[in-house]
Amino acid sequence: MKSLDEIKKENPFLVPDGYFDQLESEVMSKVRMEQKKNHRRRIYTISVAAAAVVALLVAINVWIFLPENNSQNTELAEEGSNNSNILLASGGDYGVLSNGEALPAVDFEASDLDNVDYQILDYYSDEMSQLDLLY
Amino acid sequence: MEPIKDQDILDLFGQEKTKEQGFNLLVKKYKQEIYYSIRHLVFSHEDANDISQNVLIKIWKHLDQFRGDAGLKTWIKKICVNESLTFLERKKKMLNIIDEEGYNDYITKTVAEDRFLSSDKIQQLLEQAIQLLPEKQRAVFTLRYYDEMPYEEMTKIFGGSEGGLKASYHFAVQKVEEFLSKH
Repeated sequence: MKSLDEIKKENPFLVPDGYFDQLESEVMSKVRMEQKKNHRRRIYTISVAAAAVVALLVAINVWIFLPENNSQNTELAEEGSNNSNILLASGGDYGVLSNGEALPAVDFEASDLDNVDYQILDYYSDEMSQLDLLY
Repeated sequence: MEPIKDQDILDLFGQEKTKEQGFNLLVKKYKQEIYYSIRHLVFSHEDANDISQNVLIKIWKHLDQFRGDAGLKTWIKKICVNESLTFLERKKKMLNIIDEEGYNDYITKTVAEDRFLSSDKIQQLLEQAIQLLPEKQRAVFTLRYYDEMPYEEMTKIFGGSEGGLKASYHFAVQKVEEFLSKH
């Protein structure tokens, strides 16, 4: 026999029983694990970004309310500074915006910082718990 | 039962809520074709299984980049061929076989001892002849001979010209027929 045309074209390979069902279920299982990993990664990234934003806002507020900055800021308000709308806390009940508008001063406690952190962590803990239930 | 349409797969895959469902349909439709394309190149069931899983995971990760320049089937086959050729190159280095005779002996032994091969002697001889082809030529031969893929589609997998691929296929046929005549 010399020619390829003389040979019956057929699949020469055998596979173990149930192989293709097993292949499908193994692959789908790996894909679901990838999905789960990606969700957790996204939640973590968002949490870190949110925490960074909160930390920045807190830092700005702390800086504003520092004693050495308070008197300076009050002076700036009295001078009618051109700084864009910054809420100024003076020793009294009201602060004055650069546009002359009076707003109530915010009573700020250091413990408020802790509450903000815990609220953020609680929110994302709930999100992650939801994902565990789903998968 | 109606065959699953590629466009349905792509539509489902394209939305986050139905992405997994779309991919599952793709797996159901193409798993055998993927496996046998790879198996024709790498021969061993265990190797073909590993590579098939890698190919399917790659498809999961990159199907959103499919642009439809070639059909979905051709796009999938291209991944199968590339992964298989990469695997074969690595394996050859690992085996450290430097002469042709040594390699031929290795192939003969591998085919003879495989438990997942047809008991038909002619099919075994044909498979041996195919495994002795250079890797890329083997890929061209198996896609044309077993899948009957048009040369135009094959250019999307291998690049080059249709003429070049036709020549490659005909050289492969000559080698296979020469081997069969001697055995």
